[in-house]
Amino acid sequence: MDDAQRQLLQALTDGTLEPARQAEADALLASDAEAARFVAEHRALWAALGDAFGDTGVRPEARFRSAVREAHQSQTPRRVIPLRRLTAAAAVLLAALALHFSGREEGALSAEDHQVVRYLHVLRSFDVLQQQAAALDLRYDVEVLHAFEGELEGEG
Amino acid sequence: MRRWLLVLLAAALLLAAGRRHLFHVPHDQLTVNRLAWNTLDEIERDALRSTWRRVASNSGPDRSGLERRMETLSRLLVVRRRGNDRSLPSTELNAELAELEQCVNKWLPESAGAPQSAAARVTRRTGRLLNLFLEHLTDARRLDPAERDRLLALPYSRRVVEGLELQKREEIFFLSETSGARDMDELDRQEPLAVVANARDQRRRRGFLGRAGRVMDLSASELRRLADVPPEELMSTLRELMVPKVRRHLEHTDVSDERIEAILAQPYRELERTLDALVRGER
Repeated sequence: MDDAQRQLLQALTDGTLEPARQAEADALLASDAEAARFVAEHRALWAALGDAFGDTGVRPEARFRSAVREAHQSQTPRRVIPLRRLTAAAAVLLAALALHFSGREEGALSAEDHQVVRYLHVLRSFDVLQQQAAALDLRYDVEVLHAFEGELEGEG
Repeated sequence: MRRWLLVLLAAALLLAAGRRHLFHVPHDQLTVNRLAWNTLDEIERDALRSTWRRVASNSGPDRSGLERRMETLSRLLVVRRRGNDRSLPSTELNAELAELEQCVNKWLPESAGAPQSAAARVTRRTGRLLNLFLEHLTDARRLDPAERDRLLALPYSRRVVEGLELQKREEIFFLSETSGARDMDELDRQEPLAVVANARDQRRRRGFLGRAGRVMDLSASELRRLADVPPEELMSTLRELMVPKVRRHLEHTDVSDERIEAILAQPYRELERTLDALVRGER
């Protein structure tokens, strides 16, 4: 994925993509697994953040944000952080991590839809699974056999 | 006291986030699923939810069988997608599965005694190979003799499960020679049969895994031949192609002629283990 493609996908995830370029972005997503992963990860991250804090729709400008941070740091005196605050911070961090990891794969979906999306490829072929139960069992047995091949003289 | 309760609550939330899945689905497949989900209308989504509820509510004796079949089907679909075959119609999938029994009948013909089903013949051969695997691993000092004895005393189904975990560990060890840290993490998360399939695929492209794979290459015509060979002939074809290369390689070392013949007579995976150890010793 080159820089131009990355910018295209960034615009897609930010919601700033021009409608005329939507088809180009769709084609890239369909043909490039890395591009699809890039978009999925961004969406999952934003979904997790949205769940945790609510989406204000505001994206702070980077220079403004760093300027504010610098000004704040220069004005705030250093002080000892009480244990109670450290504990609360640890709890918030753990909760944020939990939210991040639970939502990183399928974004903001219900618990049931998480599972449906996870196994979507199998659930779509569920008729095959029911009709070919014996054949799938045999396929599993053959896969196990292949797993231990190459241990017998004259076999390979 | 209240602050520790807060931490405990958050830790519990973290553990709940890592809830148990039926089986591992590769990251790329999850992305494809998510994109496919976005294209479905509510009627299609409801149909899939209903199918999932049937799976999730199944608490009968066949639950583990159902989960295993789902996992097997998932591997089949993931492999097909990697081959740029994004969708696999049910009819084609049915045909492929139906062909498998014919293939097994040709590969492992019935013996003269009592008739046995294809599944029974596969299971019998697997049991023999698995026991040899445990013996060879012990000979190579990669498995403790007491652990081998424990595994050999297990019922067949349990021995297969633990044997596959052991094989996964072995394949990851050999794959680590050529894979990056990120690939190794992904392999570690995968089910044993997916790791084994990956390793077999790599042998089709490299001949040997581990350090031996670094010193013995395959020509373009040999690679083409390996790409086309059916799964049941992979090991014998690999052996046919690689043994002359191993002989040439060993003749340039200080290994005696007698020892070379003994090494070359080994089954393919034994040969791979021996060469890996030899190349490590050469360094």
